[in-house]
Amino acid sequence: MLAALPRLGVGISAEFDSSRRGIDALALRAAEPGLIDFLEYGCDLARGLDDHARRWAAAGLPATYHFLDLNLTEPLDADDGWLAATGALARELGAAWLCGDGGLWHFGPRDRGHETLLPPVLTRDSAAEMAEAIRRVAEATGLAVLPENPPAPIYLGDLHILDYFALVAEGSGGGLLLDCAHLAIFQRMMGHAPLTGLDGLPLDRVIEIHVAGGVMRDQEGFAWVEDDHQVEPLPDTWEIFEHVAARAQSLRAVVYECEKNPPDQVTDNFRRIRATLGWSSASRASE
Amino acid sequence: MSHHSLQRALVVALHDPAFVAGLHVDPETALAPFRLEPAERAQLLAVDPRAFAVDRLRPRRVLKAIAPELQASMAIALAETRSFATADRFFSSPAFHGAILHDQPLVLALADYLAAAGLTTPQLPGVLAIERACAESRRDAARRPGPGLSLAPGIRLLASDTGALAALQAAEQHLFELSLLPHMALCDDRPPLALPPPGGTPIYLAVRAGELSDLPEPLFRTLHAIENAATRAPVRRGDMAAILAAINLRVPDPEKLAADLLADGYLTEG
Repeated sequence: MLAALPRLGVGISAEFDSSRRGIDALALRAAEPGLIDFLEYGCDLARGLDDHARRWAAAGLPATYHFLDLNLTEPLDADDGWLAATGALARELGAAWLCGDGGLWHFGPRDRGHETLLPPVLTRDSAAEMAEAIRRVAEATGLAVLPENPPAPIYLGDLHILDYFALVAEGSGGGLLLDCAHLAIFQRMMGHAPLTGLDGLPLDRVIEIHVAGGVMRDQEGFAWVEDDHQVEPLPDTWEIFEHVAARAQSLRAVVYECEKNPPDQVTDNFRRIRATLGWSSASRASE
Repeated sequence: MSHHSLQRALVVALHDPAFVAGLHVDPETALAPFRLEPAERAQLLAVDPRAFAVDRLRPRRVLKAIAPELQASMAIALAETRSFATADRFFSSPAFHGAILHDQPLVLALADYLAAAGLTTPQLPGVLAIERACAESRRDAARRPGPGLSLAPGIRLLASDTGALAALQAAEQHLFELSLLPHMALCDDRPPLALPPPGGTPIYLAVRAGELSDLPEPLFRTLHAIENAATRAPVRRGDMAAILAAINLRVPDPEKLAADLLADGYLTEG
């Protein structure tokens, strides 16, 4: 399945209604030709596609669907209703694949509007359950499912998060979404250097990368990083991105998660990402 | 698997500062319900307590997600205590901890919390019963029914009174008016929540996927009797005459009544 995935190029994130106050991807694409190739749309089934996502899909442009309502650590959370509705939504969007943070989006039964993301407990048992959930979703929807390393101020478990997702990839047989900003957060919270543990991650399984802004915060003297998706990624995030981009042979897509910002403030970072990858829109089209 | 228990303990810690404080004073007691392995306990206790509080709005976001289904009850509760601590204390309550431990809907846990909060506004129990029935109804809609006749998925029955319904509507109207200009919350002369008196005429409600409708008393009694009977054994159409007789109702053709209730969507037949 992974070998058949298309190279989507460089994309921008969007969430339900994000274009009303943030970036309209179609407008940015028109204003800056060659800057963005695809849209990664994130939502839950309770909200579904917004007008922005529908317009993008109607234009026949590439997309991916980022779910915000599945506890990927709990195989049974992907119940028949969720699988059917998510598959239908992804098809309506024209999504090339599904992705989503590998963690918990809700506590207890799925409910409206929880969206309180937590990372998994980083153990072998948990990784095996996530791999099972991924296989289940992929089989039911017919789409590849890329689990994403989630952000948090607290991580529990005895594994490095990259070792955890290496086990997930091994168990699912599928690909991975590496969020460089989230990894930078993990490394800082655990006292590691930015690239620690990357030698244990099967980089040939990394299909998609995320780059996003973050900011250092202080809670009564406790330093932590907020994954706020502002314009500027942390230096650690850039370091991770550049390291992985140079080595991820199966990479198909990079998303700059910047949908909340003024369009003119994000163009330089899109160009930096393109330059790092050596991907131009024209070269993507010729492949 | 044990990591789920550790995850649940983390969820509670992220929402309940009192739990975090107890974790470091008396970890045995605080963590007893989670039945953690020693290594898991050690991991949780090793977390810098300040890390649990970095996202100070996390509990508020949870309340924002669940409170709308109990909005009138929350309004009545907060109007009585005039303290948002009443809402915040939900996260330290046995109802919240129990819901996290047993994977129960947080909305119903919030309803349990409000019911047990020692509040004295006489309209609250009736309003809470209506809102809780609506919340249960929404979550019941996907239920797979058992064998025989039973209430259709998503149907809840509730005996109430006109005072409770009027109080519910008054609280909703009050919240609507506040929502027009939330700045009113900053003002001492903001309009008070004025509730109609409790009591009134009995009414019989059916909640269908969260929507209320009035039922004639005999129909309510009939559905209630079928619901009760179905908890004991599968109900066949041929049982209808006996069920109706037990509640002193006589209809010319009990089996046709069952067919009508199926057609109207009150019953299902598995």
